[in-house]
Amino acid sequence: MSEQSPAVARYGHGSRIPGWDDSVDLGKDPAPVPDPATTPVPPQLREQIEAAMAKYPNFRSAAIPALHAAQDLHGWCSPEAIEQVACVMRLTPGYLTAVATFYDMFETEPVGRHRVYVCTNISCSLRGGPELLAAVQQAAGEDPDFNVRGFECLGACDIAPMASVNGEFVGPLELADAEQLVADLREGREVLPEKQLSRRACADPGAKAQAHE
Amino acid sequence: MPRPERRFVTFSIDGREVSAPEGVMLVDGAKYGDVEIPVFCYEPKLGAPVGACRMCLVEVEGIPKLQTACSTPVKDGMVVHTQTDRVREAQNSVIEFLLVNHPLDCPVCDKGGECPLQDITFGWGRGISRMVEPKRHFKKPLELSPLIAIDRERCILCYRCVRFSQEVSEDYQLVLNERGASTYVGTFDGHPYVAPFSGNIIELCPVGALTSRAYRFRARPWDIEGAGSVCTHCPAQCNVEFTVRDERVLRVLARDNEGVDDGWLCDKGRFAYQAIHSEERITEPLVRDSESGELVPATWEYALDVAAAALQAGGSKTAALAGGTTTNEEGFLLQRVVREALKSPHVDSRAGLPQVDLGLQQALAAPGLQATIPDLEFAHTVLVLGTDPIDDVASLDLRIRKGVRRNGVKLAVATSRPSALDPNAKLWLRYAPGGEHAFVAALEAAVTGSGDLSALCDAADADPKALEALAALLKDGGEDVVILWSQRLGAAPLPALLNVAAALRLEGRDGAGLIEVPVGGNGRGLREAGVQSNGGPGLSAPKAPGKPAREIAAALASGDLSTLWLLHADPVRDYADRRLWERAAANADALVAHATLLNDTLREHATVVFPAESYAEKEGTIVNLDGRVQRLRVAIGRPGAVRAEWQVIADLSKRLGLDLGVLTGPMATRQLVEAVPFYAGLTLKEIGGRGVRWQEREAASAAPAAPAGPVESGEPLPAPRPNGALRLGTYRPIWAAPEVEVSPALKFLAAKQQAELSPVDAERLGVDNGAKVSVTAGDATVLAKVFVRGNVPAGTVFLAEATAEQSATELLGEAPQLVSVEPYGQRPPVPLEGLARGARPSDDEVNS
Ligand code: SF4
Ligand code: FES
Ligand code: FES
Repeated sequence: MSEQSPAVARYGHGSRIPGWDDSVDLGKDPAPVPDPATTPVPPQLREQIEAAMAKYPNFRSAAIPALHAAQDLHGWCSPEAIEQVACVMRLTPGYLTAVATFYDMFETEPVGRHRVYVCTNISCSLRGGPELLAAVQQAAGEDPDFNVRGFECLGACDIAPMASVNGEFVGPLELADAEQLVADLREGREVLPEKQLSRRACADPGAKAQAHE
Repeated sequence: MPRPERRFVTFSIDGREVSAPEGVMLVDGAKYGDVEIPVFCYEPKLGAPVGACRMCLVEVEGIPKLQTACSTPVKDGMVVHTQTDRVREAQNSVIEFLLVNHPLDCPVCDKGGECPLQDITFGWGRGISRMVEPKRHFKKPLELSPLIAIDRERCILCYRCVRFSQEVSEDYQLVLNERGASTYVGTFDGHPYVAPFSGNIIELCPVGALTSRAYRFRARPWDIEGAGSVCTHCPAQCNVEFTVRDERVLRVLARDNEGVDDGWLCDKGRFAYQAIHSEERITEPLVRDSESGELVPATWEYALDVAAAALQAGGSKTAALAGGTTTNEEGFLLQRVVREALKSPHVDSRAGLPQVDLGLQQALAAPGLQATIPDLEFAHTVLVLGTDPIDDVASLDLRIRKGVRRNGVKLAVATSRPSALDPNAKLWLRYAPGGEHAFVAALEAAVTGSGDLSALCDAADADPKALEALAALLKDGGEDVVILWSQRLGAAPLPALLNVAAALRLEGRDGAGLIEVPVGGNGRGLREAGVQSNGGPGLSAPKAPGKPAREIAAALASGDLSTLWLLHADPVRDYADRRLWERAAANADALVAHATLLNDTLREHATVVFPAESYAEKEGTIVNLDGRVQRLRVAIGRPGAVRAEWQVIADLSKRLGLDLGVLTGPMATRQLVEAVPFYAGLTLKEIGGRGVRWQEREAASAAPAAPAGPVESGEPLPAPRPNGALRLGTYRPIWAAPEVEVSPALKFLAAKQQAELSPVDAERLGVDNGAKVSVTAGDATVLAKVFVRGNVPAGTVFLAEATAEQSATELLGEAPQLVSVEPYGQRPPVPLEGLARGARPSDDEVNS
């Protein structure tokens, strides 16, 4: 037995999960539903959240669109962003933290503002997704403006290997495209326009227009 | 919502025919056939089952897959197997799976010996594990709050704790973060989980993941004994079990009583046991030394002699006050000594609140008009009037939430201060502090359709439309209406309240009625035992009416009364008009007190202080808000020289020439029962561990008959108009109590004075959230920290009563008060930046 399971030092392999090893900060106050009198919320964010809440029979269903709106404004789901959403939705920040940490596309740490999600799921990985990810990562280097990460299937296997760049799907990509992709973002240009999925010719242009509404 | 009817169905489990109530889950149904199905996540008190742990799998004929018994209701003719190979294999596998990452550190785990995971592994597990890989390890234990430690390695993700936070206490601070194998119990951004009921999760956790920081490593289950009793910290009187080791209370657990607490405790009830063993506890009699002027320890004989001499000297000029933790027996004996031996009519237990006409009291306490606590959960409509249960009667807060969440009870809240229950209410109404009488009169007008609603609403500063909506809800929302009202409303509004009850025909209706929230743990019992100025035992008329507490204070201050006898009462801290009471205490010729802790008043003015028993050392009875007579039982021996209170009173009485004829605690109970007609025949045995509501016994017919017909409710005074000043509203926070301050675990919660202001007033006064202000009425001033709250009505400032320092009672006089609030100290007033004005923060602020 002991041969098969070499002794692992306590905490030896640490934790992959942010938060697992964290104690609370006893210096902080508890976090109930924020009081509107002391929680300023940017009016336009408030409007977006209220509009989302009005769409659903149960207003809690608006948690995801509301967090997206706050993430767009703040760059990530910062404690402040979460408090603002909680204040408008009359929920606790805890409720929203649970949602934000559950879903992959909410950032719970500060990240660069350029979101590059490179697909590494099956179709893309067969066509070099992981190498592409490495290439984009290398091209972006330590630039704090970039948030480059591998992603699961984005549903665009037909253009594998692909990436989602600030929400725009581009592919099929070659390793050489990595530099261009990063440069385009840095210069504020359209990213690889000729490889954008939304610019592709389509058998049914009407369908595409609909999808973009 | 009337209680659902129970129908029985028959099903077969492990070859046995069993009949069980229809609709119960198989886990519970199986118990009717003495079959145990192991569970982790199932806990009916938490609401609908979640089926998270899969421990309860069973085989149901006709369904190919194994089913979770915790979420499968029993049906007629169902055939269930719990002992087949398939089930056993599944149980083995679930255990093995739950233990894959469990550290198995039972020898150093606080739960060891009382751990469901241990027990179920032993009973239903394979006994060995095939897991040879290294397990995940994390830092442990970590702090989840000052009260609770969390050990994330041990967590089996059963969801119990988060369900409690989300669906029972509804504070929604505890959540599961991340997902899948990464899931962990945590809070928002490292904030501690501090909420009034947080301690319940310790008891709910089926493993050693959540442990009490106050109890950790103090004892093992085989070192301890459980002793059932009742918590006396507030009028909810939750049933508790003390964990006792070597004559020390080490822990308090809930002792589920459906009629009282529904199995939950607040953190005060759970942790304030530490006050019992506080270093500051008085454990021997203290007598003021004539030379040094200090209180010095004395023998019992000497202390009793001095106290008796003082009381004798006071004679009919003696006044006695009993505090909320006094038992019926102690109160009963006290009033006997005062009334019979000292020939003084001045006894009171009403915490300084106005005296209520005896006829009115009898009418309000009429057995047919009393709702029970479980009625709160099944009524059509519940009206919470003038009280915030979280502060005044903690565990009822959970009961009301439960009714709303699970049974669709329609809740209305009518208070002057924003209530913690507002978000759950169908309707919430505000009136101005001081407008209680006008408000209840307006409610009467709205319900009966007579009277000038708009003028009354004007006097109460309430919204007539909202009152009409409330009246409609009460009248048309179903017949079962329960009104939970507070003694703090005062005396004037009560006739109108009675008329509202009459108009709604609550009398004699099961499931409907009134429940009064008294001030003080045993407020109701003390009145029934005769500890009030205008009422003798059994709400009878006393031979001579005495002065209520407030007049006692005035009379002591002016010299009309000379001696004050305090049984667990601290009027200077707890009653309105602190400065009057300070004068009264200073001016009294003699002050005799029974107390567990010293306070400034006693230190400076007491002639004799007798060490009082704590609630874990006492025997006797107390009465819950709905008339349930409950029994306190001795859990531990008395420390030091502490003696039983009944005995001290009896000894004093003997020295005063009256033999009470009480040689044991139960003899005192017998005397009480004989003196209160509606308790007739009640024995300690009958009260037992669950208590009995006296209204449900035959003797209830002996309750004094209430005067019939509508009562004249009198012309209400309008609430004061702020006119530039602010109205003062006060409340007593749950954490404003000496037992909180001396309990090391709870100390961090001790209430500090804060001035709750509306954003409008804060802006007008130029004070920021957190700034220091002085609140002044006449020549009295209280310092407080500003707490700007969006839902505080403009024109009113709310301050806490009975805080250790800067208590609002300093400002409370006879009449409702207007106060002025000013920024305190050198700091120039800073305008409220952007707050509440919806101003957009600059981009820098947003991105920082
Ligand atoms: S901490 Fe305890 S109660 Fe909470 S999910 Fe884990 S095992 Fe269950
Ligand atoms: S696998 Fe990459 S888009 Fe589907
Ligand atoms: S007890 Fe049934 S799934 Fe947990």
